Amino acid sequence: MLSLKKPTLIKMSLYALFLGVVHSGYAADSSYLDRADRVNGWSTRSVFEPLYQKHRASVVEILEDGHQIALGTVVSEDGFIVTKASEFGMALEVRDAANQTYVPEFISVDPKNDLALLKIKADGMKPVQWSDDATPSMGQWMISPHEDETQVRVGVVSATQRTIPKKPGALGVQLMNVIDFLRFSSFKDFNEFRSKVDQQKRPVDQFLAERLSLDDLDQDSGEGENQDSPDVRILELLNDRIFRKTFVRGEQLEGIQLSKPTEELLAKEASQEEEDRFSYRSVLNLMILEDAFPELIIPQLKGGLITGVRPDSGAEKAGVMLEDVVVAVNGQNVMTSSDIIQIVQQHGPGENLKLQIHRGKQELVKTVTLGYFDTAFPELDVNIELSGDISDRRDGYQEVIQHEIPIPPKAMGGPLLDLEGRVVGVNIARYNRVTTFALPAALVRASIEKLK
Amino acid sequence: MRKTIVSLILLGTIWAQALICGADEPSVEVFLQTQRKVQAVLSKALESTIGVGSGGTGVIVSEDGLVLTAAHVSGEPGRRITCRMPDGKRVRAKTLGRFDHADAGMVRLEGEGPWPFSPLGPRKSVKAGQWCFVLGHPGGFDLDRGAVLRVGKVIFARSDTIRTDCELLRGDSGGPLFNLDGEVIGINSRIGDPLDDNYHAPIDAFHKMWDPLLAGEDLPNTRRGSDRGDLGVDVETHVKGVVVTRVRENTAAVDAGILVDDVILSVDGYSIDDSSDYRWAIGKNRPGASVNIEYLRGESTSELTVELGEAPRRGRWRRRGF
Repeated sequence: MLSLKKPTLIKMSLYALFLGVVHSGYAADSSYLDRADRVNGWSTRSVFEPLYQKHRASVVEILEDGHQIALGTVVSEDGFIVTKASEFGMALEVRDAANQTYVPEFISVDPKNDLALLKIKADGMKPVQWSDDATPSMGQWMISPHEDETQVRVGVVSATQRTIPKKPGALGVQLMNVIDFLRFSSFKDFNEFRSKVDQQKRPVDQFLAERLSLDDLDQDSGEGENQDSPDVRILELLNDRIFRKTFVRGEQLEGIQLSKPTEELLAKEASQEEEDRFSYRSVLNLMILEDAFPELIIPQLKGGLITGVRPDSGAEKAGVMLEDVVVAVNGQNVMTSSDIIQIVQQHGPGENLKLQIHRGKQELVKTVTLGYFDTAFPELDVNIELSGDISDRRDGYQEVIQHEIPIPPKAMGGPLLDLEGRVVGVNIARYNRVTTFALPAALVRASIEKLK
Repeated sequence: MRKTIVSLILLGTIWAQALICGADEPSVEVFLQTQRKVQAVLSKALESTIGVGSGGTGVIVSEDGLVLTAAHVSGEPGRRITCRMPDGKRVRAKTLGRFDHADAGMVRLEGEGPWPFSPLGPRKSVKAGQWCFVLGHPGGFDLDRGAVLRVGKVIFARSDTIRTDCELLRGDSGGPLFNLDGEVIGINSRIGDPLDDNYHAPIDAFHKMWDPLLAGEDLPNTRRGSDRGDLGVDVETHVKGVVVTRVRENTAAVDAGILVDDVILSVDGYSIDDSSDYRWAIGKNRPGASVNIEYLRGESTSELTVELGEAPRRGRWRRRGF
């Protein structure tokens, strides 16, 4: 250190004192809670540092290509580690608290529970202590490692322990009934539409965007919502399974809503204006025509028209393209996009569906692996958009503990600890801004036994 | 030697500083105490938390079925809506008054009571740093899940909003913010991007507007542009009310004889808690409207009736011929 002259020394001391006084005055502002003092502020959560440090060695990083993708929980001295299965491929590495890296000797996966068991060659690892508490109570404080596993975060058990049903998989496409498209575009058939598009030398999506607003499919307008009423609501019974509401403003198609027919809807439909009913008749006529004269093949009047393909979706990877018309799924013929959706909804992410497609004059078959619905269509759930980073697989769990500890997807696979340092569960999904799911200890232990 | 002295002095100031503001040291014991208190009042809080309308939450605050919720959940007064009890049962209800400025709304359940209810927190009782908890239905009412609990702390409390670090989402709106005694101190209103950006309508706004809300009034908002009434003073939040820090030239305040250091306590009977309150109480009127101002000058309280002027246009300094 430098040798200081007396005046400098005095100046420095006074300055330090001044800073101290100013800072304490500022910090004592009682009308605003500083970030450090909030529940997950460093000052408050540092209270749990001693507790966490005792168990820090039971948490490892799971790496793929050198990047952390999850955490792992050590469950045996000889190196068994449990983590979230759906986050990775197979080229993994494990990094422990001492920063040593290992390549797992084996990896075993339980897809139903979204768990994977890894074994690394190590001795004297520190396994977690499992809790006997099968159902921690709502309001009970828990801690978990953050994605940076040297840091801890805290929160309470926030809702009832329960099953989370599996959401169906998604192709990753936007669909429209071919028949609706043709009617609103007033073309005789698809070939005429195609030639019009070719003549104008514009891509289909642009063409569609100009003529229609593609807010169709399952936009549920509930009762209390404030929505501008469109000019016309055309209500039609398409067949005994499907009721369609079409919203039109001026010449613009605002949206189409498909639903099951109900008494209420049928009554409303019957009382519509005559000219609106024309559209109902025209559709019905076409269907009657096809039934009566099956040899009159109008192939392009049926099926779902692909009006959008989501990036990175199963559909995109399989080579499904804009303008493709899906006429059958897994061998089952489909009349409308609703038919397609009904079939897709019976399958989960990871399953394959065979799509029979008409592309212009070509007939193709594409096999699509279904992805996660929320990943393909995040904008359909506003809470997803408001939640930042969330896990891809976040549903289909036999039983979960729901808590509010704010940790990101990369912290999944880490332990959920009570204030006694016992592991109550393993974090399995960052669901949204207010929710993280953990699989209860009993379920994880049962799965580990099967996987060994 | 010199090094030691400097280090000692620096350490000394840090230590003294810690002493000064070490008042509320966090500890595991504080967390456990909070947990005990929350769990003691949780079942009653859950019983009184209901789904309101199509995707909002509310809390029953009286045996005869009065419900507090967010103005943007209940919407226009006089509408029939459906609420959902914790057991899933649907109950018809009618929307009462709405106070948009604080996002405060009221609803009345139809049907026989007695309804399970939570008590209200008292006036002026919410302080930054106090522990609190939220119940709500994020993502919509879910019978298997029930209402979702979040425990956190108050970050600040203003007359028009309270901010906490209890994470909220769509669907939580209108749900209750409780203190550790299980009293309602706020109603969930909106969020910002960061996880600790969560805002609630203060219970004080409900207290102050209780009668108009109960009577089904659609309370006015702060008016816009030059259609907004103005007194002509700058104010700052004071211990009680707001203190006048400047009286602008050629304004209604000058005509009425308002002076710097006067403390405005209420406007038209509405108690002014801070400058945000003041801006609304004056700004909801048109220019030319007559308002009653209660103020403190020195030791004595008096009242004035003032005709408001027009709110100054932006860029008013141009008029002074810079």
